Amino acid sequence: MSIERNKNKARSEHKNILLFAFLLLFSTQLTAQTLTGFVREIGNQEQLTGVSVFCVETKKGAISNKYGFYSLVLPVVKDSVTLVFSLVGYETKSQRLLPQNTAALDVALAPVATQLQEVVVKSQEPSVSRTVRMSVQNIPIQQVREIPALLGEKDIMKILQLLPGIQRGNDGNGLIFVRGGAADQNLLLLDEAPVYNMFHAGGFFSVFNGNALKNFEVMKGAFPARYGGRLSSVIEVQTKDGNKERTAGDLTVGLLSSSAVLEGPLKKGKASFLLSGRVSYWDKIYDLVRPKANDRILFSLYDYTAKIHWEISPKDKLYVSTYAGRDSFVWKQGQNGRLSDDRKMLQSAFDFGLNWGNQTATVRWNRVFSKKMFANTSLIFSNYDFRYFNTTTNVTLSTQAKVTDESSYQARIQDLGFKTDFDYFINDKHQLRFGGGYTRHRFVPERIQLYNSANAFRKDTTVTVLAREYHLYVEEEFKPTARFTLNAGLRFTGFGVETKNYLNLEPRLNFAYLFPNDLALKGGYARMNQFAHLASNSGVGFPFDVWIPSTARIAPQQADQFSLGLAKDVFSRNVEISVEGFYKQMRNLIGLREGAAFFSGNTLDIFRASLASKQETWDNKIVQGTGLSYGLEVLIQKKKGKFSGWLSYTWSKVTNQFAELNNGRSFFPRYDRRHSLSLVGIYHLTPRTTLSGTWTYASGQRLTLPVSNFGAFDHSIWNTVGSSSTNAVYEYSNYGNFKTPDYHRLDLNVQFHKNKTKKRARTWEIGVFNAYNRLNPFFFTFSETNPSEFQKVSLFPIIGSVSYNYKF
Amino acid sequence: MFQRTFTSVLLLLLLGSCVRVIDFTVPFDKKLVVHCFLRPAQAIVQNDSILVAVSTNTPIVGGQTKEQINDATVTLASSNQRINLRLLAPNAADELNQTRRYGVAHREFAVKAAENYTLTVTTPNGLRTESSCTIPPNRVLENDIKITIVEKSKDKIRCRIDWKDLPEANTRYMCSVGIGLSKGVQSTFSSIYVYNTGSEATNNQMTSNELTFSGFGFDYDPAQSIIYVAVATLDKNYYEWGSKQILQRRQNSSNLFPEPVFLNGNVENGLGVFAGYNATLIAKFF
Repeated sequence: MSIERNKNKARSEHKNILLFAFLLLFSTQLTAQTLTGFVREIGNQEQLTGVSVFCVETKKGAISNKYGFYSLVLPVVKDSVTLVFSLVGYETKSQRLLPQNTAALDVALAPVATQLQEVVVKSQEPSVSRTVRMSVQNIPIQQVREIPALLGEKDIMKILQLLPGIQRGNDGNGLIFVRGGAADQNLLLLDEAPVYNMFHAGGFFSVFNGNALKNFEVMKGAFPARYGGRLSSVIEVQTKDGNKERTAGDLTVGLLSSSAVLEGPLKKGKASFLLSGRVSYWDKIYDLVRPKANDRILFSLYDYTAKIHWEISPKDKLYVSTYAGRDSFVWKQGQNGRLSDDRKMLQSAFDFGLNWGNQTATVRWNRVFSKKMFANTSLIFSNYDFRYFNTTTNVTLSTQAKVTDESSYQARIQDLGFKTDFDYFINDKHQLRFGGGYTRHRFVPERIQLYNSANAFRKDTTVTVLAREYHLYVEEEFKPTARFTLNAGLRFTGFGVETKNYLNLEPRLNFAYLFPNDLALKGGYARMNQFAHLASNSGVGFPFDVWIPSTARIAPQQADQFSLGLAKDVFSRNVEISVEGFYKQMRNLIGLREGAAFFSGNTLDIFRASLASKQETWDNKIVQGTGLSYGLEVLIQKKKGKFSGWLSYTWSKVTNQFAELNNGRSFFPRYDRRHSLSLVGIYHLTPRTTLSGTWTYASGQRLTLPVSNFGAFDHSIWNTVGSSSTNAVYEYSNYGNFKTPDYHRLDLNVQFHKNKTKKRARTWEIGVFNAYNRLNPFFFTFSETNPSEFQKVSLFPIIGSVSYNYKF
Repeated sequence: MFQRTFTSVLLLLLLGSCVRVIDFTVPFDKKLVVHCFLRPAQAIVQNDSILVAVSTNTPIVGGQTKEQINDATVTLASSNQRINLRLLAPNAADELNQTRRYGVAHREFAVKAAENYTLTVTTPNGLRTESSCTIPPNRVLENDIKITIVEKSKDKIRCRIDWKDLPEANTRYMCSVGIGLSKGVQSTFSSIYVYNTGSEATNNQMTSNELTFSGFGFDYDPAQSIIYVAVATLDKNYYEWGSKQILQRRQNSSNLFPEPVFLNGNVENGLGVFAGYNATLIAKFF
């Protein structure tokens, strides 16, 4: 009886607590009303992300989401209130709002392309100290267009490398390494769809046409619960929606490639389209100067983006977008020669090639269910494939005997999924986000086709792995006081493959406390899991990327990251300073077993390897280990004014440990760089002239090089030791035993703008890449003529470029 | 070669790329390189002897030559035996390899299955290595080895070797097939090695898959030609050394994107391997 009474009492207390919490949660609603709307750009009606919406009277504010939607709780007042809308690169707009008009307010901001006057920044401007988010960086697209780039090719991935915590690969690849994570731990989202390969042509070109982009942002840690799937970063890229008012375009002609963007209304003010395309003519230029008549190199790349945006109703918007990009590299070599037997002429042909490409497609539906509830539902398709092939044909002319050796290797990952995300603006203290998603992955980690006519050998095997990935999350942003903000969330992830199901809970927590004088203390913790991994040979620049799934044998990668930092706005909030430290523990990192390769250049070699051991299956080439990285990042950034730019510095240390590599000892991975420093400056000299420059420095990378060589006997049971010749083999001492020379480089740029008419403008751009001709390493090799000589090969000496851009 | 060709093309494509020799310093630690593969005596092998090859390593840059070790003390010992091996007169292969061999006849030092042996090499200038190995206790019997000639033509021989897996868990094997072809004064010998472990057995049967020999250059006479088959059980040192050496050579010669292969032997303070094996050897005319 007593137990029953206690139970009833407990139930009653629970009810009271719930009621209290409910009242607390919704108490402000009793005396407040909600204002919602979209923020757009004047003219093209492009929806703007990250716009600060600030109520001067209440000192409360909101930020527009990535679809330009905002929701702000206002007090019920008799007088009007003043709202200020502001975003870097746009003129700040103030709007008086009468009490009776507080239902919906759509606002349009005017872009400020080139600001010649220092702007007196208002106190309501978005500032680094005022937001709870940390470890997040975005660069206005306008700045991206003004920063120097190799041959004028604007590349957001290269610009990311100028930010703190993001390490570069070599010249010649576009890989990025974020806070000690490997290259595959970065999730690149283009209009919500994952893009698995981030660069064209070994990093010489960005995978996206920069003129078609609206916004990009990178998160390096303290991930909110709505993001997941990679350990180290999320890079969100949004394409433009298309101009809803008039047909407009953009044409850029460069030395190696050209691109065009065309956008316009399908139905004025309601629906728009965007088309962009880019093509290179690198091989055509190479054809003009190629030295050998028998060799031919065919290289091509293209990419295109197409998008339709349709405002079905004030509450419903539909986006359909697609992207495709492909690279193809073929080296064709023909040769006539003599064998030792002079009577026989030999004709040989050798074709070697690589091609790879991404395709994505997204259908998104935005729905404003109420003033407090915004939702986006996406149907997403993504594909990445890679193929390597070589064919050798030898024909002995006297006998017409023909020997053909063909091999090809293909890998692919294909995703089809959907996700739904809800933003619920409860009141000015609470914002709730929740949602979920499901993706069906189809991995082809290995398709090998081999043919050798001399041995009558033919092989065609394909390995396919199907997997399903799903997630649910809930995330609450809570502002209990004007100075304290908390973002807490929980993400549930699942991955089913073969007979194995991996289920994980990922807690997320971020906080910010604002001290007086615009100084904020921020901290964050995030657990992340990753189910798709890149098994990548660290090679000479061209990608050799095989995406593989977690399996019963390959556990998901997992990381726990802690971040803590200070942020301060200075000089009337015109300059942001942030200092962040991070500590990241990683488990089940992916590595290639010693000597493992997903593909060899020789058909018979593969054949023999397949015979040598039945254990050479694709997942047996993978080993797993742990990693630890920690570091300190400093960013001083000025986003506005006649002079803008930033200074970033990173000190970091990364170690990995694999039981089956390096004799189980920990080692510095290739991307461990102790110091990185970048200086970026953009100066608007006159309304028609923009000067810019970047200087970047990074400590050398870690390489694994042999320390000595010696002769090893191939023990023959039939011959005694020493009666046969030895094989030259290498002695390795330690992974990462060699540190390459430091990397540094200065790039300079000048742009000459001219407005031909009100709507037409042209820009000539002249750039100098690597202005003081620093020969930074691309890779290292032993000399072919003198094997005891070690050589550094550099890709880019000082290079000048000219490009022309025309906008209409 | 393939990598060099590939990178040359890449550099040509990039037109302005530069190659520069750089100062490259890797601390060099001079070491003795010791090889010895030890097994019980085999009646089928004439003048069967125990041999130890000794040389040194060389720096990775600078082009130094190996030091010829003519004055090493090479000692082989077991629980109840100890012998110093004698320096053998260098043959052509020794000169080519800049290696010196030390040896002793099997009859002077008994090597038995399941026994542990220690090999010590010292030089007057202070280099000293020590290593040990254990001879695998069992070997595959001749009756449990099956040789299948899948194809035999004038320019190609394909064969397969099957043998019974030993009951010990995860036994390591090496299967070696040698083809000695002759016709009159013409002759050729080639061999293939395959490393396996018992984990690959199916129904307690091991198989080498098919091994192909081709490109002989003359029509051999089956009556004068011999197929040699060896199936050996290996200690861990032998298996790892043999399989990794093949892997490193394969990577260095033909792979576009080689990953390092650590060729770690069991020679303390030195390089190389002191390995134990227990083999069954078969030689048959075609």
